[in-house]
Amino acid sequence: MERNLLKFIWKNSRLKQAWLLFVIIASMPFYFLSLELPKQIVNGPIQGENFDAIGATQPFLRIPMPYGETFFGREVILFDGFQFGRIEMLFALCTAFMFFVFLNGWFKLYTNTYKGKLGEEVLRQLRYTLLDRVLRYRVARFRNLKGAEVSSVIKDEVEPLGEFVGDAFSLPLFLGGQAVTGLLFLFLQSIYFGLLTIAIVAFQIWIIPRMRRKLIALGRQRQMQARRLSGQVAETVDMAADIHVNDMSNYARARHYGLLQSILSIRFELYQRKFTVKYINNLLMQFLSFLFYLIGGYFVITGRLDIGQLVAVIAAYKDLPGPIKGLIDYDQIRLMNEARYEQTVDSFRDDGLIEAELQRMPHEPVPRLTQGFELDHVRLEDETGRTVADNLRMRIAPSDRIAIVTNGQDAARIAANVFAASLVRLVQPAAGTIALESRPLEEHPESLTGRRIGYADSGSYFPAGTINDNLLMVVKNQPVGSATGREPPPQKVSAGMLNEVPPDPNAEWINLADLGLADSEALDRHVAGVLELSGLSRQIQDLGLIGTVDPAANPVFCDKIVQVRREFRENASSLGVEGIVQSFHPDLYNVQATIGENLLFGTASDPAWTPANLNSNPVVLKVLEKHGLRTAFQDMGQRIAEARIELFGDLAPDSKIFETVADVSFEEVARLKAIVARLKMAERQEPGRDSKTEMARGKSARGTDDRQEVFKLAFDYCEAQSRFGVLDAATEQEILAARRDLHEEIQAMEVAPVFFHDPDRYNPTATVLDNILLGRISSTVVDGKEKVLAAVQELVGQTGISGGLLRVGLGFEMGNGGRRLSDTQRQKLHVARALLKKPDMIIFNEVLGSMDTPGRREIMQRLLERPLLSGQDWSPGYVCVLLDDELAEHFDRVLTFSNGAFHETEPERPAEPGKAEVDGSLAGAAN
Amino acid sequence: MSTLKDEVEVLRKIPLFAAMDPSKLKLLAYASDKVEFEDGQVLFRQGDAGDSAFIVLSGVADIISESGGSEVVVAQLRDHALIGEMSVFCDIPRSATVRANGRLTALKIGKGYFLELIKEFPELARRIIRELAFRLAKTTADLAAAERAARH
Repeated sequence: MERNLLKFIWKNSRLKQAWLLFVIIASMPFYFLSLELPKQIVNGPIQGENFDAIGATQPFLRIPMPYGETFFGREVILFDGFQFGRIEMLFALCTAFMFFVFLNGWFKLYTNTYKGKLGEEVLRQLRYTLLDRVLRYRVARFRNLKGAEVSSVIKDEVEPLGEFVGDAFSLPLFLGGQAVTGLLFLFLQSIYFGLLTIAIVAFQIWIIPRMRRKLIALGRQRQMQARRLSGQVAETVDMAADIHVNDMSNYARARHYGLLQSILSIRFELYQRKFTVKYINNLLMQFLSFLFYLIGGYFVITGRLDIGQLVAVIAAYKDLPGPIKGLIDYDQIRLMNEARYEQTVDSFRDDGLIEAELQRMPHEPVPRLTQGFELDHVRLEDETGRTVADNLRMRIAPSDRIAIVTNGQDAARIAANVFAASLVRLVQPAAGTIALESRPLEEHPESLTGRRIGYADSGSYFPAGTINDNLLMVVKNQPVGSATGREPPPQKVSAGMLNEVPPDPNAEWINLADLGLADSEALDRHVAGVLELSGLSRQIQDLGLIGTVDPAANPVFCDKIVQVRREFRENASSLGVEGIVQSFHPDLYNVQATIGENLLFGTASDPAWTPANLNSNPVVLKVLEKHGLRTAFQDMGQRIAEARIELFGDLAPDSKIFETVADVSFEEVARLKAIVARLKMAERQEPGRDSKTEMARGKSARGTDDRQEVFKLAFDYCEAQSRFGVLDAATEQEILAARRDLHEEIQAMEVAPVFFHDPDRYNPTATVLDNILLGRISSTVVDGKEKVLAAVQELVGQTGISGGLLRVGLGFEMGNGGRRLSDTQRQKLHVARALLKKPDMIIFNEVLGSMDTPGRREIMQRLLERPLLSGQDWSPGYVCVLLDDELAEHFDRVLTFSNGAFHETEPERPAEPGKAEVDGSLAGAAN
Repeated sequence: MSTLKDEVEVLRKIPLFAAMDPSKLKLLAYASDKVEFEDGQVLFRQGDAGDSAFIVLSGVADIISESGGSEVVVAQLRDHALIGEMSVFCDIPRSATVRANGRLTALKIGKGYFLELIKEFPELARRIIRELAFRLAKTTADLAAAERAARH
């Protein structure tokens, strides 16, 4: 990678830099014209120069040929111009002035936009280059790499470089030109003063870089510390749980503060030096004017210089400080950015990068494995450099099914882990060669190893995204179509940039033909089959039950769900769930649901209509008022509060009851106590006032808040659960009437904020399970929820929507690091990923470690069936580092570890006559 | 649908809770679940981990001892009887299977809350001890009778 910033910029944007320079130079004449015109306006039409005679005219836009006199001995006029009087001339010149103002403004706009875009393009290129390098690091390097630091480099540290790119070449040339012109003028006026100026500028050029050395060093330090900060912050976030369980928060604070403090000191020193340099700079330039006035004045007074000359010198000098100051500032920015860039590039330097060639997308189909692995005198070391296995010699054919039995011994397990990892290049052998297809393993492109060999270990990391994204990620190797053409695709160039453009991530990346699948439906079946094998189908279906589906996108599935809902209701008794689910019925009060749910009778798609906000929703309040329910709810709230206080008021804060049975917390009860006490007090003070009038007037803000809090309680109350006896049948009927009114009100709205429960329609705002049940599970039935779930699963299986449900479940967001799934589920997903790409060989390195033993054995045994997936002619070879040694009997070859090497042993299997000999011949291939 | 007040009335009739303060009875009613079992439905199985005790409100519960695939009904418990308290007290698996004989209504009290109740109401503890002692006496008598029957 280019280590010099200017060279990097030039390499990646030279055409555009040249164009930018051209545009800037082209804009100069217009700029000078716009400065020149005001003078002409004042001197010409306004002061009346050359307009002495009445009716005198002057030419406008007269163009003499440049250097005409030199070449032809006389003035050559290309265009005579228009003859204008004084007033016309004023208008013409002013119009021309305005024209140039517009033109200059446009040039400025164009160059600024162009510079900005250029900067961003080079920045994109730089970031892409850095990312490319990260992707080509060997896996070992990542053990010492902090993700947050890398991302801070790629994201933040290089950011200022973008601003610099546009100015990198154009600004110094432009300013340098101005400075040289200024100096030239100065020399023309007076050689001595010219020399004096050069002397001072030279001194500046000599002294400033010396003063900046420390500045640059500090800049580097600042960069390192900022990088450490992002690393540390990320670590703190990652180990949040550890910090809490070990009371380390104060140490963490201290550690962060120390770093922040050192960043502050560095930055402070940086500022001090930066402004000192600036100060000396300005001082030197001002010192020059001091010399001009002093020496020039002295010469004038003593008569050795005439005053006109001095004025001319000073006038010439005043154009000089601007560009020189600009140049010095530019240099400062350049130095800082170069230091920043070098630091960035250095931290991304790695001599052991994987060759870019190995990651290139192949232009012909990737071959299948035919010969497999051959290990010759391989020595493997663990991360500390200790030899864990030596002198390994063996052959592994692609169809071999090899079990590595460790008997749970540490040394054997480590050796087996390193061995398995070395087969997929996660570890490089310390000595000897591992060959694949008779070629050293490290020479194979990743397209071969990555598509033909599957690997899974105990890792359980997944990036955030849906299960589907994370699952299919492994078959997105290259966009479909790019491999078919014999010719390499044309090197794409983005508008003058010299970099290669990667393909569109939204293109079709899954090559169905390579997976032996006919169409996307076959892929769906393949995914379902793989998930079934890895024991995830049921769990993902369960996730599908709590997912939501958009009926517009998936009408067939939603119709089926409504059908399942009907069957669930009709066949409740045969499914054994009769009376467990209380269905939502438009004309009935659902005792298992809260009052708020009964009132709304639907689910909200607008936050103002969610259960928590109903009590302040004006439409709801209006309807309640109409039915006299506002007072009723207020009373109910009061009684609920009192009942809760009576029940839980005497309990200690640490009472088990709050943890287990109470639906409120100790704090909530205390709050209710205070509210009720305040309300009682208010009532006593004004006994004549009944609750209704008081509420209407809203006596005091406090009182209104308290009443509102009590009012709110009613919405969340469910008689069947709390059984306080505050809800009578009459109120229920009134709530039903209010429901109908509310329904009408909502339907009159342009966009309905609520989806009403409807037995014949799919509710897009509710989960699939809620859509099937369309009711509430009764709280009094023992194991009601489990029974209902089992019945739903049974129905799902019967009606053939399990595929659809699986797809909904696959849309489940896995969360940060995939943590919304359990460890076991994530490990299973890793196994599923290894299977999904249908490799020729699969290496399982102690997979499914967090599963229970019987479950793991069941899955492992299933994986050994031939063919693995029904309807697909595919049975991969395996190298399995086993957690359950008993499984070895199902494999063709068994390796055990002793004395630093793996030895082949006969698989112990239940006596089957004739079988042992076959296995014996297979086993003979290994050493 | 019964309210807490009705449930308190039911609880008050149970000798075990007779001495308890009405407000505490209300809390007990609130904290416990009223559960209904169909004929033949199992409350819990022998060997299960026990997380709750039951008080029969109405109906009959068969206490069944299972061994080697055969079942023996060792007792029948009726109204106001306490079931499943042994697992709750001693953290041992259920010693027997309990099945509803006909429709059964019971009060299910979670383990944590049950222990809390005993801590707070020594009177309750005294009554439970009494009940258990009676049962032990009965079991001892039964055992002696069985031994005698076996010897002859």
